[in-house]
Amino acid sequence: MRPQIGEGFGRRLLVYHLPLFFFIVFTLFPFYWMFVTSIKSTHETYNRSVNPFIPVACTTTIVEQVRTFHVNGPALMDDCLFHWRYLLRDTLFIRWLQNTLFIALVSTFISLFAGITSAYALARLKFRGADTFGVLIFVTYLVPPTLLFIPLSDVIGDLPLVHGNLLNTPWGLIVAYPTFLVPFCTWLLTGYFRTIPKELEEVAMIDGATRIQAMVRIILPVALPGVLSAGMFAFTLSANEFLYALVFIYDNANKTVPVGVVSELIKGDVFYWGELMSGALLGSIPVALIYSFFVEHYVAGITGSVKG
Amino acid sequence: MTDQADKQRGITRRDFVKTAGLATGAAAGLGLEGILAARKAPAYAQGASLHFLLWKNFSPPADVEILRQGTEWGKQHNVNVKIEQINANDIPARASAAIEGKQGPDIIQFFHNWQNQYADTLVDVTDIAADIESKYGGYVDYAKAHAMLGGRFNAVPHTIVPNIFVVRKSYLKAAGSDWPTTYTKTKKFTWEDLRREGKKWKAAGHPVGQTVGHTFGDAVDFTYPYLWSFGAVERDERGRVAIGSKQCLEALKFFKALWDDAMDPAGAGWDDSSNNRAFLSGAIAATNNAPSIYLTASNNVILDDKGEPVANDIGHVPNPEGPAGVFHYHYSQQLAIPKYSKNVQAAKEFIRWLMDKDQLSKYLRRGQAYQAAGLKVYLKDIMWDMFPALKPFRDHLLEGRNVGWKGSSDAKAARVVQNYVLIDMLANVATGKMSPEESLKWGESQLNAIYGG
Repeated sequence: MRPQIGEGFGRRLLVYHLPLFFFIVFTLFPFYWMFVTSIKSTHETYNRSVNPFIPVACTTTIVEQVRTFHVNGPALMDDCLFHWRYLLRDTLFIRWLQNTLFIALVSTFISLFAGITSAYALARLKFRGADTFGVLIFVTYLVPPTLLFIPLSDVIGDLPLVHGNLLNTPWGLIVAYPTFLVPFCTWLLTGYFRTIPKELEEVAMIDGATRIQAMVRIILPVALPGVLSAGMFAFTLSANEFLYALVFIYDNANKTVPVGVVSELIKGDVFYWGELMSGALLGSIPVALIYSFFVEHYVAGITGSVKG
Repeated sequence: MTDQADKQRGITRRDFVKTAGLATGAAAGLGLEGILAARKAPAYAQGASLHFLLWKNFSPPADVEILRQGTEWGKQHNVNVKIEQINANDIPARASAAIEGKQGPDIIQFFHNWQNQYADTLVDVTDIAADIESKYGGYVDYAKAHAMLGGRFNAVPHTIVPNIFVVRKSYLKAAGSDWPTTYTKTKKFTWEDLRREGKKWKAAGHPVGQTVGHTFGDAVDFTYPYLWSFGAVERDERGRVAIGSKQCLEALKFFKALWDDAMDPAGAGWDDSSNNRAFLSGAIAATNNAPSIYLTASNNVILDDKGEPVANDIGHVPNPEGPAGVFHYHYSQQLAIPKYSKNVQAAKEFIRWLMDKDQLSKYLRRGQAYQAAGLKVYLKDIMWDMFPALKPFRDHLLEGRNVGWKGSSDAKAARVVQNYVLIDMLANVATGKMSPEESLKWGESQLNAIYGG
């Protein structure tokens, strides 16, 4: 925040910096907790007599190596990176991450395309039942996946692929995810398109543009923040989805991160906390990166920045 | 492929057809004895595959063993055996989708008596279950009750996860409690004792910790035997709803007192892992659980504040005694074959093979006695000598009952478990949401709705 003329340090501290500090601590604490748990030994995780916020064994090892200027890789691996090694070497985590990114990106792309076209139609074209149709799309979004997964499983099992059907393939999820992403994108974008003045495209059409040209060249660039917001939400929803991924995918190598981590690292009534936290931290990085790249557009998108 | 080419590989087409025909006929018509007489493994369709869905075992070596067994049997029979392992809590969703969609795993591992909800869609496996029973001398009663419905086996009892009380000996001693060291068959420890002694443990910062949350394992393992020990049952012998009894009201009233005096209030929201974590970190002194707490402490060499192994400080004792006696609930795991499977015969033979002593004993031993077998003969297995600290689980294995007891463990009893009705009755009282009388009335209405009373 840029200081204003005449604004003292004390006031800035009280009004801006302190609240911002507490806000940052509050929002980043889960990430810190995940990180700390991921570099503690199982013994240390369960030991209540040591400070839970500091990974004692790992810190001691690092301090010792810095003090003696001697890098001991195996010791570092044993005391700090034991869970990370297990996650990356003994599970298919990288493969799950690739699957998740692929499925989430393709589903998001399909849903955005369908969402943009249907939202434009609902916002701009006058046809009988447009409003009812808009409400119905929103209602579709509200149907919980727990009701849909059984009939959807039946449908996906009947859809043919080269050697069999879509079950147990990424394409099964790519078909399933738009069932909730398209209504969501449509609903979000319909509202956004309605904030864009009609005059913009009317001018283009008077100048000879077709409706599709007006939509692609005039409306879409203006609506970019909204499209990015819908895309980011759609990506997050599909990357974090659990139930369909659990039901439609059998092979370990085809799983996504949310299902793979839970299947491999929760054994009976014992949770492998170190590995689970490593996986959660690593799995959240793609989503965090996407948000950080598009944060300004995202904020503009959800606040509806276009003024008539 | 020509006969000449076959000969170069050491087998002619004629030999293959003969062997395959004999072995398949033997498998279908004569069972295991036929196969042995044929001296060949039964052959299945070229490139046949078998998909087996089961939980991710607590004990990783058991997973290694089941994968090895699948590969070995697959090689013997030219079948591609695919073993899929997922978190136990997620099996019902996978099973529902597979059965409703009529495609998916050829063999599904079910817990409690879950598979009875799909009884009409499962293959009758009475033939192999009965063969195994006659060969090995009988199943554990409640494991058999869970696997049967209407006089037929719709699943083969495979394993059991036993649950008894796990206590931290030093915490009990520090609070002046003589339990569990003085526990004998004649001098038992009652729920009233637990309340009195637990009050001291709680005052010392180590209460009794138990979930009454919506979770498939520990909540059921505690709630059902607790109510039974007071003489409270959901149905009587004739199948009528019987929860609205004065025994059940007494159990609910006592539970409120036990909860307030001796238990950790956080337990209302715990899942199956929470009491393990609380116990191992020293937050609680006692809980009802499977052998996982001991095995985690032992395998991870978890040390206490003084640097002593926590495993050495763990005691295993039976559930406290109630007015109706000592009861336990150990959840069974059984293997079922959905009717949609295109490989029913192969699935049956694979299950039969898994149940052979050679395979099952290795699976249990490598699993470090975390699971017991559904067959009584394994009570004498050397596995229990390998893990002497876990012997109390064996000693109280036969004291279990089936869900739905005193009635049958039918599909409706499974719904009671999956809707957490009895568990919610305790939770309502513990959290103060309802009085014992209100909770009893609520539970009775829920059971009437399910059982059609």
